[in-house]
Amino acid sequence: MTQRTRILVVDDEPQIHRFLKPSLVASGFDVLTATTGREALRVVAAYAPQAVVLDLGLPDIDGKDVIEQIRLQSDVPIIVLSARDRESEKIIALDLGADDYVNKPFGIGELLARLRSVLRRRGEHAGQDTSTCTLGPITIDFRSHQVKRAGDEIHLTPKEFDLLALLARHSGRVITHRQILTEVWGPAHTADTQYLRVFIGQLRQKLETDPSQPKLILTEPGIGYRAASDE
Amino acid sequence: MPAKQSNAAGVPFENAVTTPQPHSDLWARLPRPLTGSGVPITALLLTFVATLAGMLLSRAIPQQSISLVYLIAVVLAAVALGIRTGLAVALLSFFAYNFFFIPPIFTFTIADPEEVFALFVFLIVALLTGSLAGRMREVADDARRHAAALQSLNDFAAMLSGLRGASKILDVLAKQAAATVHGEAIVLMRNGEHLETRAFGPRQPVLGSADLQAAHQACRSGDVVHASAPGWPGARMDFYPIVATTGSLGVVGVASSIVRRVLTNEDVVSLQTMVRHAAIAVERTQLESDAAQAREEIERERLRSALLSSLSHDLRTPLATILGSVTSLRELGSQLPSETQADLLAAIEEEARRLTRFVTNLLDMTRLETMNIDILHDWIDVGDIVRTAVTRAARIAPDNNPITLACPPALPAIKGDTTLLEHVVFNLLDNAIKFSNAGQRVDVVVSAAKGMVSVSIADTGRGIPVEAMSRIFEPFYRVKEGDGDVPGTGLGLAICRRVIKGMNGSIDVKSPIVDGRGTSVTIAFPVPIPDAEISAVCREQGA
Repeated sequence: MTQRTRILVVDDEPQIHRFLKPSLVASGFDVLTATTGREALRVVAAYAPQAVVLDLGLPDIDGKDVIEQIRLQSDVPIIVLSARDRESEKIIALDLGADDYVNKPFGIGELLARLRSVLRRRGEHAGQDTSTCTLGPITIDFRSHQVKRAGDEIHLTPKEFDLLALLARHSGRVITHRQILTEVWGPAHTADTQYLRVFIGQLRQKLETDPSQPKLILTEPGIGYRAASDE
Repeated sequence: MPAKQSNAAGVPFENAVTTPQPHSDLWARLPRPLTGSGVPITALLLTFVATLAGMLLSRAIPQQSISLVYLIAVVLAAVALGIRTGLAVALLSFFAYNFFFIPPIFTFTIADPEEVFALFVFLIVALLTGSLAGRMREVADDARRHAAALQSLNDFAAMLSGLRGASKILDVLAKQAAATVHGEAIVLMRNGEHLETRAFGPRQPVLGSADLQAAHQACRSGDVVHASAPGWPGARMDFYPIVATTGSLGVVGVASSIVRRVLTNEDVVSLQTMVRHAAIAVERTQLESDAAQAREEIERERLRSALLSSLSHDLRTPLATILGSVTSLRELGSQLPSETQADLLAAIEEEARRLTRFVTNLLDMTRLETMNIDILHDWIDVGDIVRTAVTRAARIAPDNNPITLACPPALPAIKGDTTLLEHVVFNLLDNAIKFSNAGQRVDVVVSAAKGMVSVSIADTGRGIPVEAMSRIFEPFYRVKEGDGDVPGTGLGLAICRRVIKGMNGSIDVKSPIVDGRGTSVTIAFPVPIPDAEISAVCREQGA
């Protein structure tokens, strides 16, 4: 029997644990629980879970501080649970190193999909060849900077390529505006979200079958963009 | 007279308005013409007395010294009755001394030329002494009047600073202005383009059209308008503008009720100072009310954002639980053990109930917030209401906390709202149960004594921390300790207090009661009088 993946669920509401724990167990995970930030940090240090589901509203320490502290000792994938209207909180969490977020309230399927997505990426990172990558029908060759759809080359400008490469490398994961701008345009341009909108539009024109209904590069309103995962 | 600073701050209202006028003011108030005609009579009288005294003394002292008796009369007259009487006595004495004492007596002729010289020296000395003494008296009078005016202004200012509300300030201003002019005063305040009567004293003066025009002019220009000034024929009152930093607020009209009395310079200065003080005070109260309004606005805003964050948390958690449980059951149903499935269903039910309670509380809060209606419309039976609430609460007690109820069979009816009171009692019971451990008892006692009907609810739960005691009635306040395991909105007690207040009742919380544990909440409502009405109602209800 293969070892089951250990997930730490951090939430101060016992009712959330009440349904999350049995559901995650039934989905094949081992579940560790914590109701405070301090407890979460102790569990991360002691049991090295393979993923953390973290509610940002904790009674003792701010959820964002918990992310920072975890990142000091581990790069375990972190999925943040937060209210839909707390955009800035989510952005900060993602910028601090959280891997993804799920809006509360959520269906169990959504959380499971996100969990599998972050876990799979960790797995890929470890072993796979990263010189090429696919995004739906698109193949991206990071060495030759070539992008092809079904063998036909698509011409991208260098910035467009960088942008696509960044999103595709983290497919399935939301990348904040700030993260994209810092990576592609440099730290001086973190506020220039209008660049980003223009370039995303151009990319969609070139890549999407229907640019008005994007399937490959998805918008996370107010937060950032996400390349569709292969799932 | 030194100003009495000591009593300035604590002057009682009435006392300060009608500041006791010193004697000198009484004198000043005597109409001048009377004083004028009084001079010869009093002067003659004094001279006569001095002459009599001189005659009595003429055997004992030398004739020349008798002039000193007259001098005493002159000084006395000047000091007691003023410079004019003093000078009149001096002149009369001059003749009387000559006539009665300088030989040949009973004639105005003088035998000895030396006596002529002495007599004229006497005249000069008498006139000088009289005028000097009289002047001294006038200076002393002025000083006294001045001190009195200062004192009354001081009292006025001190009183104004203690007053809350413009209407009280204007009232005091009217009374004080009337007292200053010994007549009537009226305060007209600007309301847009109009002037409105806001205060008067001691009775409401009748304003003619010329008065009104003068009042408007004073208000517009910011200058004093006197009735005697040209352009206001028939005007009876002088108008002093009440000028604040923002412009004219209104005017004070004054009219003396003493015929032909002209306001002295001092009176005018007093009035102006008074009006200035009042203007500052009125402006201060306006600023205070503005500040209070701003504070209220901030408080409302704070409440609103507290409500939002509370909504976010307390509404979302049950929703998250329900949605999570439902999707788990649907998507993973077959993989979940049957007891887990049952537990998820129970969680859904509990959270749905929690949501219902939360929404009800919120709606109640909103209803109470916007409610202006009287909630004292019905005669209600507290016993019945408590019984209903206890039954409801017993149903929801998850750990079978027994609830005991002691209630006398017949209670006096009180005035209130059945639904709201039931809600209050239910909320208090709910709290008692929530903060108790499994199986711990909750005791409810209903009683009537000393014109009050009271309900007390006591538990043996964890109690309320001392530091939380003062805040438990604040909306959305929740005791931090155990916040995680006791669901709630922090609205319950806030709503309770509001309802209880609306029914003229009181709520008293004691915690801990025994051994650092337990909370006892007592709510009490007055039994309205008269008794006859109550017993009638009791009969109707068959109590």
